[in-house]
Amino acid sequence: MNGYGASSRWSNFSHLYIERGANDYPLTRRIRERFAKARVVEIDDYKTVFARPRQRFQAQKESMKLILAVKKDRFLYEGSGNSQDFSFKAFHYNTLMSNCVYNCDYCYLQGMYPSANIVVFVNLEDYFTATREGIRDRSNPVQPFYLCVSYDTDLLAFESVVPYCRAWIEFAREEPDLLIEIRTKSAAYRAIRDLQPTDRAILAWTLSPEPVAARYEHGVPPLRRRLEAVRSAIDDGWPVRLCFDPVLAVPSWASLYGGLVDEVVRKIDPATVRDVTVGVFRLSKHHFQRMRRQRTDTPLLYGEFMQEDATVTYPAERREEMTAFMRRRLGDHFGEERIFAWT
Amino acid sequence: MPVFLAIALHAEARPAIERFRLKQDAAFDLPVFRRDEVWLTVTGTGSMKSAIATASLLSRVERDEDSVMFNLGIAGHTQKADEGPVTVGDRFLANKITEQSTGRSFFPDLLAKTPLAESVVTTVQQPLERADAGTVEPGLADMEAAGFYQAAATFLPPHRIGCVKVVSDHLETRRIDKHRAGELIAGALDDFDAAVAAYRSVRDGAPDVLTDADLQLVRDIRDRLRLTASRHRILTDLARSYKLHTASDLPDLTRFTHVSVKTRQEGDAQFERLRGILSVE
Ligand code: SF4
Repeated sequence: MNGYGASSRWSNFSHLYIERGANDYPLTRRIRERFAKARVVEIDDYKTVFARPRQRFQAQKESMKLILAVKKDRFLYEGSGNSQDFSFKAFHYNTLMSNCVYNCDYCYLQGMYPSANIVVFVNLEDYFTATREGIRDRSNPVQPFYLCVSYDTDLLAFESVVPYCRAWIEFAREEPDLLIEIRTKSAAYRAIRDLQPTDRAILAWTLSPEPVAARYEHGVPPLRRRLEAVRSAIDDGWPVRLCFDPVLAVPSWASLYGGLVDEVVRKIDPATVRDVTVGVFRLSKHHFQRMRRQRTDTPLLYGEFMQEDATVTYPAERREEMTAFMRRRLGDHFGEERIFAWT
Repeated sequence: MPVFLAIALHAEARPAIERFRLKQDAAFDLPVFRRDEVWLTVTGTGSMKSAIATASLLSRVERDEDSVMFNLGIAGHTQKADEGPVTVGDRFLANKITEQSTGRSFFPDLLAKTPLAESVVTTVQQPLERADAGTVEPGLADMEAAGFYQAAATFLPPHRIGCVKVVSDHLETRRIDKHRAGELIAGALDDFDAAVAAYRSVRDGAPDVLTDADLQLVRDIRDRLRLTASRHRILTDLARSYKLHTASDLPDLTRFTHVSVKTRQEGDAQFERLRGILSVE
């Protein structure tokens, strides 16, 4: 037998798995053209590929495949207790894509999905229809229907392949009672820069101290580039949210995250930011356990944790200390009323 | 890192047995040939036989995380001879395996980059007639892949299972001469070998920070202190946490493999001592 060669892996998106029913959608055609050299495998249902038993998430992360599928139901989900709800009565999210091009050590998707392959649901119109119904039937008509569209993924990071941020911004522009949030760690703001800003779409950037980003957020643009994107979006007139989430209990966390706040306010005028979110590291118990089984190589998942109901997070004292620290440091610049914290 | 091979017929297996210099292992009821880390089972024809032999081999031989298993054999191709690019002797790696009898499809995970072209393989119960070529997805038709894959996938992750088929005919030939089958397989062995090597080179993400010796030490402590499964898990995670946070080796814990505990309270006390030593807060 041949000996061990150098690792020979396919590059990302070497293969497209396409549901038979997804073939005729414009996005499918676009993606096929974009990855013209990819090998195409026709499938009946995306779950037969995505949900295979015994897949290895991190092995797949180095050769992610694209799965194009038609979402059959559940175009809207109710928000979970691990997310800030910004005091909106109706907090919803949708899953336009499953998985993300980045690979953060602390990412809960490793514990949530059986595969690291990226599923793109191509039937955008069905999401729009469901969202219109959600807006119409919302429980509190005084507030807009608040919808996070970059959930369980990073939509802007993939905008050049799947132009969904653009589509949702245009959709929100037409829907007076809708407010969407597009959360990202990418610096790809230029992909939507030609669009007119609208108050109905919040662009939200997750920020981490550079040493944390460099060590634990694989593939993600450095802090400097994220801040440049934030700056451009604000200059163009977009409502921008800054997310300090997750705050991680890494060694010297106070100095790292304090330094991050200083860096942010040096580059961004706090008065121009819509609001700020803060949350210390937390995960559902189920995801945490599954992640630990797979990740025996990252300090972020080992150490002192406690379980509260179905959530795993740092012990209460540590968590309160970190949250209070961040609230104080951010409060100095942004004022308490614009800070939303998960506690 | 064992490599397992499942091949339907002796005629197809012979070139691989010769190439890898395998010897029959009489300890098995089914024909199994081996040398060092390579194991080959001759399964017989048909999906069910392939599944049985595959499962039997994988359940009897010690595997590790890096084990790979391949099915190698000849198959017919739905394209007519001279009406397309595929010719007898071409070899393909299956990217989709459909079981005709159930309509179910299976997908080996294609992480390793191999020199092989790819194809759909449909596993049929009877040799497919030319006239019925349109009843399956264009590509290869064989009699084992679906059974092989389902059995292998019970044991291995999908990127450690490969299925390589060599085109023997265009569904016109009712029987393939044994000698010819052997020749076709022999001609494909270089590519096959390269594909196996590529699969073996794929790692399942970063390795555990705990070495085999660390894990053995933790097991020895478990046995000595008579720890429950849950405490064993906690201790393993504490050891991991220690190494990950301090970026150094474990402290010397060998004394915990010598202590004797008689009561549960003594066991608890030793466990708390360990927890104190390994705590990094
Ligand atoms: S950017 Fe978000 S979704 Fe993507 S890997 Fe990181 S944590 Fe996960």
